[in-house]
Amino acid sequence: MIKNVNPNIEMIVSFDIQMTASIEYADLALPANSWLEFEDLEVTASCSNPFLQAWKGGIQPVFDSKDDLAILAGIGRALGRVTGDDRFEKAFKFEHEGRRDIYLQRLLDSSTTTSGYRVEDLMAGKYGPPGGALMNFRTYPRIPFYEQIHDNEPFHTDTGRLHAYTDVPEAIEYGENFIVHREGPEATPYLPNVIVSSNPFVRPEDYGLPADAEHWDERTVRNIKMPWKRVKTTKNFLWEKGLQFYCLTPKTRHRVHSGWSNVDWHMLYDSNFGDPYRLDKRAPSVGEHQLHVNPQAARDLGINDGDYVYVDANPADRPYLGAKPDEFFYRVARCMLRVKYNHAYPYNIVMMKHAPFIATEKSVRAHESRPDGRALSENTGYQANLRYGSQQSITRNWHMPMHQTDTLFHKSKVFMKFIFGGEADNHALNTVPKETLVRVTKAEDGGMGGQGMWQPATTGYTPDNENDFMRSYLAGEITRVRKA
Amino acid sequence: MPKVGNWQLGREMAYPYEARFPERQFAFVFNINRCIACQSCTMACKSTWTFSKGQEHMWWANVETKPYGGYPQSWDVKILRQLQEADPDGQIWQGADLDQRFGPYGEFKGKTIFEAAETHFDPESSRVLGYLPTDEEWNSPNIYEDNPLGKPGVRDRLDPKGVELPVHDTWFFYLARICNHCSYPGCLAACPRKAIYKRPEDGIVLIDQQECRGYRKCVEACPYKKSLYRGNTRVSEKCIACYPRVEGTDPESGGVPMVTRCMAACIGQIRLQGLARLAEDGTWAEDRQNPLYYLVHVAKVALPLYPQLGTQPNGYYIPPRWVPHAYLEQMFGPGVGQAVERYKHPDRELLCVLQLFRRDNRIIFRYEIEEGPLIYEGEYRGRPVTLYNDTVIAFGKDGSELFRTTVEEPLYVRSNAHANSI
Repeated sequence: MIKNVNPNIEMIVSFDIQMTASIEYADLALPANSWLEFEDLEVTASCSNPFLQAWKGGIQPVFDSKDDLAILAGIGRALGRVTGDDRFEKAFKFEHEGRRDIYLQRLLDSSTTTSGYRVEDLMAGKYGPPGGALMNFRTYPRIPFYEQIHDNEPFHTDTGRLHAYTDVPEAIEYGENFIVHREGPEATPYLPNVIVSSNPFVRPEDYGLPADAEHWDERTVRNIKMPWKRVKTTKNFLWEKGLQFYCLTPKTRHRVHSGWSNVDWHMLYDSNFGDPYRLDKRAPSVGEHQLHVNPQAARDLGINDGDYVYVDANPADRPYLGAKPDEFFYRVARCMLRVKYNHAYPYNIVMMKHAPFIATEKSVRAHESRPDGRALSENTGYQANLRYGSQQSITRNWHMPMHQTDTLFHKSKVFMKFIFGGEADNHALNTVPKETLVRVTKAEDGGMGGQGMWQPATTGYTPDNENDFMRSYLAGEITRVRKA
Repeated sequence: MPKVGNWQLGREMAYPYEARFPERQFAFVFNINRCIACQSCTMACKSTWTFSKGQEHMWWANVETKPYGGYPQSWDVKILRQLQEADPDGQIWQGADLDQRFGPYGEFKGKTIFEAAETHFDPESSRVLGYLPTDEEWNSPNIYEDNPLGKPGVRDRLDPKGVELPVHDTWFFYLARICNHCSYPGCLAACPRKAIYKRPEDGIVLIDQQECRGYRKCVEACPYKKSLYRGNTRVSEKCIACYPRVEGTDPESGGVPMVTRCMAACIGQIRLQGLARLAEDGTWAEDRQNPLYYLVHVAKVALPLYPQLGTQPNGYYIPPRWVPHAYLEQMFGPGVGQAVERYKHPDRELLCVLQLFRRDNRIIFRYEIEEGPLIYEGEYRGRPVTLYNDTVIAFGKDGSELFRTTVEEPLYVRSNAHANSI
């Protein structure tokens, strides 16, 4: 995006409540109010908890920021003036008139879980604490398929029934007319994206793409079917090239997506490397991102607990298309972080938590030129979580063919209606955790300033570096119980 | 040193002061089978009490991953090591579990931190065995989060039996901690200025900020390392058990005793905090319908944290059922086997009391159970189980009802104007 897409976009406008990399790379940044500063009503709910919350800030905006909707309405009004088309302004009529509650009431009226609620009652605390209410699902607790089983509601498929077979032409063509397993297009030791099936009625069109085709698009659309006993004998060319770690990027329980990733308390708590006083000036801030690695796998690569490593995926398309190792942006984009020994991960699996704040060109320049070494961008104040690189250095999107059809039937994401075709968030890329295949190589020693071992790993009390006493402690041999 | 009775150890022990017992004692039970280490407690405390300059390293409440995590780093490994060096191979529990409030876990034959100091240190210079963590050890408060004790990795292989029950080969658990507001505090014992005191009304242990001169003897002596030095004020600080809330003087409380911020913020509902009534000898007075009394002295599912250290801590834990018992006994004493067994197969009353955890911001002083219908008969963890939908009712200090809840989560069915499939 940053290297190959953004430069071709005429103008990028972004708004947010904190300094993110999206803001740093925007041409125009518009500051939004935080939830505490909201000047009119705001509402939120989630797909996984039963509560609706509406509120209206509390404190005066600290700086010259506005509510998101006020920003959008302002953009609409300005575009109306530029274009002479007053629909831009009219689209936000009630916001301009200070009647945001009308929008909120419409939202409540048109949502199956909130219809019947009145905004004024909600805010007056008629349904719970002021601003709070239960989301009225059919049942509480929410029982999946309740109305399909108890009423005449059809299942949300093209036939209205649950079925294990589909005769959608594309599904037949792609070999997914039955429920089949496809190996990942990338993170597999076997042939990428191979359809694992011995079902004679699965007869995909392979388009003549050879099994050794390496391009990401070829791997994505190729439909090669094999029974498991043949799949077992196949190889992933990436695995053969030495990329033998599956890298998982799950969400962390300490943030919301990337939100609050660079808050001090979060950074102190999110890794093995929290230090409010930043004794090691290499750290991007008071903490830094980490890669969980099985200790034996790390040792076999000469990597100690706490060392810095590079994590590289398929060089054909990552860290970015057309990457040249001698250019500055390659240093910015190549993922580098600290290793944490963790026996929870099998030998071939490494884990890096999802969506840290990326290193940007400005944060890297700051990290390399500031006396204190912080990855804190000059003139924007953007704080990166990594010295170099990001999750995006090693992951990419995989648009699977069945998700790209115009015929895929499903319920719309945010509305009670049925639609055909893929839909953002359901089928298209966002920052969801993605698995990938990587190589891990040592970059720097973990010890203070890059000398020797990271200090805690020398104490004898840490994983895979235990002394005799620690082994006794782990076995529970220090204080013992003798029953009378 | 004078002798004091330590009921958790089932014997008398040396302590620098004569015993004095509060009327009630701040106490809590954490069911760490339920803890997910979200750190909501940690952040609730941090944002209430330790957000200022000089407190950057300070976390009065924390959650650490055992066995490798610790704040400060390796605090429990280090104090156990000091005790073992003072009393090689003598750190042993022996004797029968007695069905009484004094010595319910048998008798601890080894040395406490006070007794080890007598033989190991010059008594005038130090009254408590302990150590002063280095500045660096207060860093990385969540070090080795989610790290299990595990087996060596083998290339291209998965561990075939990593998750077998009843006890895992590869295991970790989360240990949520605050100050234990001990009955015989190490910090109080060590303070050369008597700046640390235990409140007679609720047993909360506080450091008088006017009297403290920052000698850090309390930091050295507290085996749980819950006394912390602040560089810019040059005095030490510790968890204050949110005493305005416990007193009912917090503006939010309306005069009613409330649980602390860390308890109130617990989304995993692992926490139950209250005020235990004490007998004249410092044991817990019989208070059958107090949920804490029930969990600690009747069901005996909740056990003190490192009781062998001798401070008679007032934080109790329902031990995690998937962890090898030798490790748990090292941490919680001889009651582990029984506690885990009862927690795995809870009886009718225990199942009710477990529903009381983190349901209200007000302190529960008493509970009652109204029996409900049979709702399930079957097998659970290899044994027959019978479930009843009983209602448990919680009462506050003045005897008024705080809330009631049932064993089974109630089911509500709304009209078909609403949908589940959206």
